[in-house]
Amino acid sequence: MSHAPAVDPVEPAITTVFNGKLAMWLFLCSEVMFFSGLLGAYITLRLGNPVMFEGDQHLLNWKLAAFNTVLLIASSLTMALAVLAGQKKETSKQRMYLLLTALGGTLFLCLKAFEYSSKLTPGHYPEYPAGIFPSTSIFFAFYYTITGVHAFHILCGVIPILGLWKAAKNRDVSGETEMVGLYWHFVDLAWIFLFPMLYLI
Amino acid sequence: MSDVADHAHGEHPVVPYGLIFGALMVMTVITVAASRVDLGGKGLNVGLALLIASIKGGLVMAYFMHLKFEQRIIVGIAMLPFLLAGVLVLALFPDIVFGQFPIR
Repeated sequence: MSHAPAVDPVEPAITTVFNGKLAMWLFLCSEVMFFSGLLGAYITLRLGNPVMFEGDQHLLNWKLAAFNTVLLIASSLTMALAVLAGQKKETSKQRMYLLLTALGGTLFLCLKAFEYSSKLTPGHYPEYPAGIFPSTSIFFAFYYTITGVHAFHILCGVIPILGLWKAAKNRDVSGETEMVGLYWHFVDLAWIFLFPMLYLI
Repeated sequence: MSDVADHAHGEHPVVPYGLIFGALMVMTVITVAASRVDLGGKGLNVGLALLIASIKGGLVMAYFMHLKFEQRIIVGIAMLPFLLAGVLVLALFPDIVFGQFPIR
């Protein structure tokens, strides 16, 4: 087994937490603000002007989104199991769970693309024969922005997970897996709030 | 990154991941079911949905993200942006939600 080149360990900023984990938490704090800005704008504007938002939400496929919710929570489970396996040095288990997580994320993205496809082409919705675009209404401006930005976050998570799957074969990446795990759980967390706010309520 | 790996290896608390997953599934079903029932007031529906979402989020943060087993400083860092975001959004309510400035 090849070892990573020796690196001078940097003194952790908080002695009981390794730097990478602290850094990821700080990054996730900024991500909370990011999504809160979007979701908060949606909530505020919609509560203040409910008439402007009327009539559009029922066009969304909430059943597909509910399945996506289940999918993402399941991928969070496999991610947590990957982190655990990594800490126990069970590398093949870790790699299996990492792959399952990446597959879950990829499937989410495919379903999202499918969800968008019928809207972006004309003729599927009698209410909007030309198609449904971000410019169609304020509700859909929020819908596309929020779900689009979230889908981008999923994509930006799947790529490192696949990278970890590959790297775990050659060296110990349990710490990095934990960091990416935190990010992945956050993206799931964001969806847990997004789903009812955009699709159900 | 051996330093990273050492720290990570130090802690693996026994977490009932399957149980938490089950609870999250049940709450997802409740979320959907509750949204189909009109509680006779938009505010109540929104409030209930946010409450259930917060509980789900709390479970994910406490158990999947291991906040339950982390140092208090990390829990503090993690909780702070929710407080700030809440203040940010609520601070806009008097003008946009309750105010006299309809968006045209």
